Amino acid sequence: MAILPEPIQGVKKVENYIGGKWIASRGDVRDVVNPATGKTIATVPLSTESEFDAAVEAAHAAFPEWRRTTPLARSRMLFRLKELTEQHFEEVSRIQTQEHGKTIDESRGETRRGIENIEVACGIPTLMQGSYSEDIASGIDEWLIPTPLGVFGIIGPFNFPWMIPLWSAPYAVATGNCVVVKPSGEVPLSQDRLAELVEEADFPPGVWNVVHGGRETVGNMLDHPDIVGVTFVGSTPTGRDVVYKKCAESGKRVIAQCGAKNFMTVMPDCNVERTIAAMLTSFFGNAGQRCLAASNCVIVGDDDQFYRDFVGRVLEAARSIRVGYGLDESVQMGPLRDREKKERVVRYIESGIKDGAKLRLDGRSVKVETPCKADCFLGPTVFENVTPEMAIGSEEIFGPVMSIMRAGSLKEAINVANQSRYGNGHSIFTSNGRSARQFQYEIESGNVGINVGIVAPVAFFPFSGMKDSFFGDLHTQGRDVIRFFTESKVVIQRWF
Amino acid sequence: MLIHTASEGISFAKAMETAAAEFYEDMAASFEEIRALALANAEENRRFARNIQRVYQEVITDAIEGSYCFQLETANYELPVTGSATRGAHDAIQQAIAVEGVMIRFYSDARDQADTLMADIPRAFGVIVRKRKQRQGELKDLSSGQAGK
Repeated sequence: MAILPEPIQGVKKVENYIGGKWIASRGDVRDVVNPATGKTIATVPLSTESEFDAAVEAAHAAFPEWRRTTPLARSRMLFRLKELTEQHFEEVSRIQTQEHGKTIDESRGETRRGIENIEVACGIPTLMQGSYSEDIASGIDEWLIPTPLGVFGIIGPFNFPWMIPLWSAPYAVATGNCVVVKPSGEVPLSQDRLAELVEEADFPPGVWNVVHGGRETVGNMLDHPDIVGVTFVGSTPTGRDVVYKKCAESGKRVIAQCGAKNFMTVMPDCNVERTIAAMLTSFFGNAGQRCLAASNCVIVGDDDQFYRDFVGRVLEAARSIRVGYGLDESVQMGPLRDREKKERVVRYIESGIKDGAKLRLDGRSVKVETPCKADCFLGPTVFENVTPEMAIGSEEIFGPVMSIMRAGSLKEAINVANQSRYGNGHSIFTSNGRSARQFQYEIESGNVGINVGIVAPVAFFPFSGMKDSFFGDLHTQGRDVIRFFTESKVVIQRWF
Repeated sequence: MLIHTASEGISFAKAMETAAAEFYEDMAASFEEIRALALANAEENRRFARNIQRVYQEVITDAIEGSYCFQLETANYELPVTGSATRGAHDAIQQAIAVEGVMIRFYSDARDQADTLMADIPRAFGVIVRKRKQRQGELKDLSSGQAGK
């Protein structure tokens, strides 16, 4: 199968987008490398503090006029942006594959999910409506007006370079706020392209800014007094110990969506064929680099025959997964984002072996389709006899590793999952409604799947999360995020 | 070649539609008596291709089993599209019936395999199967009318 044409040709020099202008940074630059081919496709700046300040200043200056722009007018601008993203659907999808490595189906899925958030934000005239009570006392009325707050910071992760900033940014600007987006420095290109489309959609200068950088830029954002709130998606240590803590100290609003250790509970009455397809996507899709990726597979019951057959079929299916460059349409799994991330996963595989788990499929000896550079690739890996005490059974691996456990009953399987410090996206596979209900009722997880491997809420539902998977009160997407980006102003009125 | 991913499946379906459209255009150019029908079919094939692309693009999500949609062997769906212009109209219609038969089989298999995945895609495939069966019926009627001419 031929490789689809790459939209990024040569080496793109990425610039910041501040106050409606493209500005080259004076900071150091680093290379953006396509993890499948090993080719440098861009350079991205580590912006200076003064450049970040300039972006906040531009956003702050744009806020009063943007706030006065009617929700209908803001909505129409978002409609224009939505139309432009549809026109460039394939291009932005391929950019994601180039910068991240995911397969083209996964990139298109990510593009669609991102656009869906712009679509939902287009409904802001309705979503932002307040409420009214007549006669709270005789002749006195009271109403609530959701009002914007100012400038928000949006910190994107490396695993979904296009979609995740769109969980927040469209809603922030729809509600009348301005934003400074800091994409992941590893994958800045799809947000760079999005900013070009924002410009083409004629958003007023300063409403939507993009500043590239690393940890220092995040620090600048968290310290800046004119940033009123931050949305973050990334690891639990950074989310909890840096972002959430700093925002709490400085009185900023915060949504910090963090790590996970997701459990797939497999009942003996499941539809085996469908369950395996869903599990392969969940464990190995995006090369396991998603906070909703499955990590532990708990097979319930003492039926040894079912267990052996199920594991055998999983192994057979996992073995046949085609690994390679995501722009080859036949490829089912791409590389890890970079060599360091691959090495981290390899260390987990080694720890699993050392802890006594049984390695049934070793992804370290993966066969990669040409014309790839093999540095970042790792094949599907499957362990049996994993316990929740092992590092591979309890810590977030963020790679294509399946750890299989057994539980005598559904109750036991739920207990094992609930012992995890994470609660992001646990699922059950069953054809029994009673088991499904018991699972959704008792499981401690912000997102719950019933015969669904990746429990990714659509744009009009909040992307939830519990325990060490989430820090904050309100979530991105849906009505939650509208509340996050607005303050409730309550008016009580009487006339003499 | 085995097709597994949604992307491959959609590309293959679009390529089949294009090949079938070209077949009908050749037919239209060669046989005046079935020109209108052949052109209408060609136009509809191109519309099917656009519709498949649109449906896929509108429902694709990273959360569903896009990489494991299908188990389709492409060799089973080779279209018998060559040589229509060198024979008579009756033979060309027979060939069109065979082309429609292959495409009905392809879309039926693809629909069944993707049944519980992105629901709009199998639904779109199902609509094409229905329309193609109708088209095949019309071609058979035409063929009976043409027999002996």
